[in-house]
Amino acid sequence: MKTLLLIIALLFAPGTAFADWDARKSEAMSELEKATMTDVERAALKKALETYFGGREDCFEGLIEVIAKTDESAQAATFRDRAGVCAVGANQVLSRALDGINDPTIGALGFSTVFSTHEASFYQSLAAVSIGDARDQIITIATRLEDMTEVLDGKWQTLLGEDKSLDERAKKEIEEIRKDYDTVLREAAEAHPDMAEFLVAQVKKIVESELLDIKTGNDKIDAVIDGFKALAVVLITRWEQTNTRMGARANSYRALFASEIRVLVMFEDVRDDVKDFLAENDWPKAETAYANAKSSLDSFASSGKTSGQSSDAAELRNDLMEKLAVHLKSGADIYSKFVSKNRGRFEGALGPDIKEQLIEHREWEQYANYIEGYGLDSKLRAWHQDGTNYFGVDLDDLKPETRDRLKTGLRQIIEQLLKELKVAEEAAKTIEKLVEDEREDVEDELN
Amino acid sequence: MGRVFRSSILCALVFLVAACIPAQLKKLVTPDKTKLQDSVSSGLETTEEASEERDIGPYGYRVTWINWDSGFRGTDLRIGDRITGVDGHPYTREERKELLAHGSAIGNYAESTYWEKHGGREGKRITLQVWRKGKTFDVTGTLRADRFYYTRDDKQALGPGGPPRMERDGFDAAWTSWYDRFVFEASKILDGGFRRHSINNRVALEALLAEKPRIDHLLASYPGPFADTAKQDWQAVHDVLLGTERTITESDLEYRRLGEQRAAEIKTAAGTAREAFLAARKKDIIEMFPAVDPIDGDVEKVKGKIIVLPAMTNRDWISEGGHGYLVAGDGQRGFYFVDSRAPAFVRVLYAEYRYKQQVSPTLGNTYALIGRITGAPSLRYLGDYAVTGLEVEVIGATVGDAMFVDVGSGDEKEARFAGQETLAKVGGVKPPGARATPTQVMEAMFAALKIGDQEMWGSLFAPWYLSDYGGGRFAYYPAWNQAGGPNDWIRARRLILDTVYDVEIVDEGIVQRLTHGTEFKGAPVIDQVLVEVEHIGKFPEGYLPFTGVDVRRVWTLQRVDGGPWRITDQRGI
Repeated sequence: MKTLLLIIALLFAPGTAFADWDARKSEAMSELEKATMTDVERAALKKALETYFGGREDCFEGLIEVIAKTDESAQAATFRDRAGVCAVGANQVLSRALDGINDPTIGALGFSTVFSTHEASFYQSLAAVSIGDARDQIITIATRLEDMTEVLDGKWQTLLGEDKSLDERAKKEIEEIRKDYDTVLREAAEAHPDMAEFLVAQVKKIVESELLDIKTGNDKIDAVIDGFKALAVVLITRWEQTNTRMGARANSYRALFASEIRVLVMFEDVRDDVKDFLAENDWPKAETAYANAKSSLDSFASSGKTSGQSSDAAELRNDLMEKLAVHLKSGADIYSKFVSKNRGRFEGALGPDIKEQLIEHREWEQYANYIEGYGLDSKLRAWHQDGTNYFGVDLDDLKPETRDRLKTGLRQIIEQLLKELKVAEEAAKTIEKLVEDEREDVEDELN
Repeated sequence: MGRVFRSSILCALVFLVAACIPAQLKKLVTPDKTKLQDSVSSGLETTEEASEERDIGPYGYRVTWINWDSGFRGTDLRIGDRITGVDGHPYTREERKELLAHGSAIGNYAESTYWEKHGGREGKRITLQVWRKGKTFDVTGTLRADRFYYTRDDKQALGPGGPPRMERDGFDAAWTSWYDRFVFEASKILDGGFRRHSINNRVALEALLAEKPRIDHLLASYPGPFADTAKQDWQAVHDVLLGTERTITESDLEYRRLGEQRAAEIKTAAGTAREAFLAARKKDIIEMFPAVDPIDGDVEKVKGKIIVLPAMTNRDWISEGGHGYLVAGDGQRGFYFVDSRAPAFVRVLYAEYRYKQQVSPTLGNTYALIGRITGAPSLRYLGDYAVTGLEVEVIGATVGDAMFVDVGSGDEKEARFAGQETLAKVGGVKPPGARATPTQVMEAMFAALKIGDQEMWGSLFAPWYLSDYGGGRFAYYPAWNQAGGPNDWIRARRLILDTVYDVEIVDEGIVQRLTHGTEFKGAPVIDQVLVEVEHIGKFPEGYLPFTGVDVRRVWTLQRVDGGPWRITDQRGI
């Protein structure tokens, strides 16, 4: 209460000079002159009016300052409260003027009542305009847009960082796979001719011996088989090792895709957040608030109880809207920046460049081609064929019993090799499928 | 003696009907001990009322006392009634100057002069026109000659057979001065005493009870109609001062437990409930740190698991464009995020709101959350950079170290905080509508006071001020200070939580039109009404009304141009 009285006292302290919004003052002074009352009453009321209109100017300026404030604190209630304080000030100044008069006339009391009622009505209408709310809404939206622009920049950088990290790890995996392929293919390519050459030479020896009608002993045949086995085991072991690594790499590679999908899920979540954010804070809402404030002030300006009030109200409306327009312009710039940074990224249809940054389609297509380019499938199939036909060595010249024993021995070894080749073939298919199909899943996350 | 006493009471009602006087009494009250004067009167004491046009009701004379031997004792006439006419002749404001000058109106000092001119005589039946709270009716009584009474030994007495006027009978004062003072005090009390005077009823009751021995002595020593009526009057005053006992239950006083007491109970309940909540979920609780990496980690392994987050304060909140999140963790150990707009957290916030309504408006802003890891990765901006973490759905929360809420408790609409079910309901206050009666406005005001709704309380006071100069002259100021200021609020709250146990509206007066809107162009129409309330205190005899300087018994409400009723007094309770 003390604070209120202090504000009133400060606002309506006598002797302050004011210049603007004087239509109502002229009108009131004129009405005072016409009213029936004693000279003493008239003089007292005139002095009170001078004091009041001085304070009113401060009130108006205070209200304009409230609207001009740029900080985030809500000012709508302050605007309403100030208008209320101004009304109380108007009433109390008039009341005090009559307090000093003994037995006031009905004319003086009537003037005081009507004037106080009109002024209270003026401030009541002013307190009801939505400019304070509009100012708060525009500044809140602008502040949030500015904040969100920074938030989204930060999130985008983090998303890209995570994505890049995963991509690099994936590329490394691909590279490792390629190395493994290179090694095993090279070794296989070297081993197969050796095995074929060994077999050809041994078969030739046996055939020559049998042509001399020398009977081939089982121990000789077994020695060939052992020799072949010694060569094959090295290759089989290499394939076993490679297949184990391939399996691990396939798993690792699959996990990277899962991680990649999580990154994209987060990206989509951010886009959803932005949708929610704009549902509350889209700039057209601020523009609507501005238009509503203008409309409510127009109503205020046209609803004055007197022409003087309406005239001053129109002036005050213009002054208030001028301050509000500054906030609108500033907020519009922030909104433009938000849009330019985020449209196609976090807001609106996804831009092709953004999509490419996240899923690197072209790059991954190259990897897929690269893996496919190895022609691993066909090589494995060819080697499989090699194994099935005893590496192309003609065994027909051997005596049947020799051929049968040799074939039986070799088949055991070759089947082990074929088994590993089969595993390798499956692993190769798996990796190719990961590169092609699961990548599509990743891309689907953004569709 | 008992029979004599009972007979005396009966005969006091029809004192002049000699046939009723029992034989025993006749022996004591002999006609020769009573001297009749020539003058006659109604035996009433009155004061002028409604002298101004705008006053409520017709012009007349309010009964302030009925003499013990008045011919209107035992009739329907009551102290406080307004006599507006005699035998069909109404009193008017036009003749008030003459009436006052001569003092000849009924109950005035020279009433007998009126009867001299109008054929008044002992035993004449007269009819008074009476106005009481807007209703008018007739009361018929008897004129009686003014009397002098004597004792058997011819001493002047207050009634037939005594007591003697100048005797003290061992008391401090003579009977005549004691009785004059008694009548003065009794008249003050019975003539709307609490409305018209500042009276502390408990002090006055104590003083009255101190007079009981004298009343008992009067009855014992001077039995008769005087003693009987004196006892009746004493009892009437006693009943008014004591008031009607009220029944106030613990539930009625539940509003007093709002605040510290309830808060302490709920805090205890919160601790117990939290412990039980955690114990029931022990097998699913995991150490929250180090947090599983939301991108590379085995999120499936922790999905659905429960973590107990540390108490989080304002520093742990982040805002992304106005959307709040609670953040737990750091770059080393990983992060967890709680979305403040997630349905589960909203249930916590609603529980907080109810706590502030039903327990205490003060609640700390720390959140000790228990949450379930959803498995969803989340990306949040911490001010300088964005980090990834795991989203947590709140399943339980201790707020402000004072309230625990099991999010899954309650129903679809709301989760209950621990101990909520033990709280007796304290009714909220709805703002009275535009057509609310003065009584309803007052009830809302006191209800708001009880539950601590200062905004509502303040809104029921009039913002306007009517400066009344009389004679239809006034100035009206629509924008004045709010009557219900902060100091009034503090004082009123202190009283409603201390000595005032309840406030009841006991009477709503008649609407008085203060201004008619025709006094000058633009004048408002202002109505006024008085509402009388009783403040209930706790006394050895029970919950009883009390009055005093701390509390306002009669409240003034006004309305402007038919608008809502608002309180214009500045006292808080």
